[in-house]
Amino acid sequence: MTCDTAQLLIEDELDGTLGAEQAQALRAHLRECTACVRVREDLRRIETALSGPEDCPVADVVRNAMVDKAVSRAGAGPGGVSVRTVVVLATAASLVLVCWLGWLRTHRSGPSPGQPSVTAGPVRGSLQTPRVPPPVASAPSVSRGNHTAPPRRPPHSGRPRLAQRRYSPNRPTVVPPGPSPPPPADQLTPADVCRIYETALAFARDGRPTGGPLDLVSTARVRADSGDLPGAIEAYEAAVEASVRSPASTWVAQTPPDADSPVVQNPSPPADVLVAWLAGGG
Amino acid sequence: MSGVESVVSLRRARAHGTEALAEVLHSHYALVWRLARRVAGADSEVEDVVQDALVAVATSLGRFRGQCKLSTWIAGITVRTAVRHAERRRRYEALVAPLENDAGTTPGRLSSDDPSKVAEAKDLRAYLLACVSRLAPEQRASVCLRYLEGMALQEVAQALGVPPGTIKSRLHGARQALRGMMAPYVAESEGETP
Repeated sequence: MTCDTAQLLIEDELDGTLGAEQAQALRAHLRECTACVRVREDLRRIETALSGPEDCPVADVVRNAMVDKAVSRAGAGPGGVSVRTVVVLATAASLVLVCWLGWLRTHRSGPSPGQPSVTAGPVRGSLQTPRVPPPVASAPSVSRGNHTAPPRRPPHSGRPRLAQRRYSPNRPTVVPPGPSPPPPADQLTPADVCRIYETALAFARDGRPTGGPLDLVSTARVRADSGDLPGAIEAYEAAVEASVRSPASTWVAQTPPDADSPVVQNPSPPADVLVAWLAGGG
Repeated sequence: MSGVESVVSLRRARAHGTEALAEVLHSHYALVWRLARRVAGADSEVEDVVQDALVAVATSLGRFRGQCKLSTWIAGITVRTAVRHAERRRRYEALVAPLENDAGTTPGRLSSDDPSKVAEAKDLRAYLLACVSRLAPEQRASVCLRYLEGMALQEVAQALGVPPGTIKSRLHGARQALRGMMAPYVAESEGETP
């Protein structure tokens, strides 16, 4: 060990950061080196002489005055907000306000001369575009005396919806929830008949009834309103049959599937089940 | 003031405002004064340093997060304030001293703490304190916190906001300088010893 290294270790010893092995090596060096022993004595002497705080010979009057001045300069006290903080916050707030006002001016003001209106055209994804509800999640409400045609799917715009058509193998197949169990057959009202049959039609056509079955549905409703329940059932069954028989492949080609709509794996069984329910309560 | 007492007084200061804040400042006044006196390096500036440090502590006490002892945090503020004053004075003296030397009216710098005079008093502590005042401000601050205030190496680093290795380096330089300055005193005292 050199003397320079030993003197660094002596300082570590004074600071209390010397390891056991280093202490042993230092002791071995000090047994042979009187110069380093002298350095160690000097440093210890310095430490001993300087250790311990000095007295503070300041009169209480002076001390009190200085503390009072510091407290008064602190203003609101230690828990208060400093002037610097207030300035920074005020600057940030004014910047946010200016940005917000600028944004408002851009998006809310009417079109200036020579500048096209931002809100003139349809906005994609805005509420102005009517959205067709999922076909089966809620059955079309039918009230007696006010027969309205089931909602038609808006015509396809022809724009490719790549994001919606992208195939995803992990995408779970969504099966629409089945209708609530109908009441017993002897307690069915004409409104129940309409609702059940139209739900069956919705299943059969994936919620997109075509023109042929719609005529039969209208006939069934008229008959149901007039109290001719057997006639209404007959018309509905014809509608279901026509709907199931129609060429599904042709229909799918005309109306591409919507990613948001439920996927019907087999449209016929729910219709058959409903008809069975209607006929025998099964 | 112990660590627990520091925390209690700090919470009181934050909760109760000026009265408890004054209590905190009073309880640490001696620490602030000692460090200001030794690190500033000039008696004439001690009062200014103490006042500035007290104001700094009072205004920034709300930002103390308890990463170290309150006394360590206050010591750090005081030392930084004192070093700033010392640097300002050093620049001023560098500007003014040549003019005063020309006029032949230069007073002895730190005359009251002149080591040669203090050595006559055979007081090693006073002699070494005078030597400390001649160190560089950063070394002076490290020596004051380490020896006079008895802080550990890690505490000194926390107070000054530098890595412990930097403090070690500063202390090494300060020890070498103090040992060199102490040599005449030791030689004289040993020469007088029969």
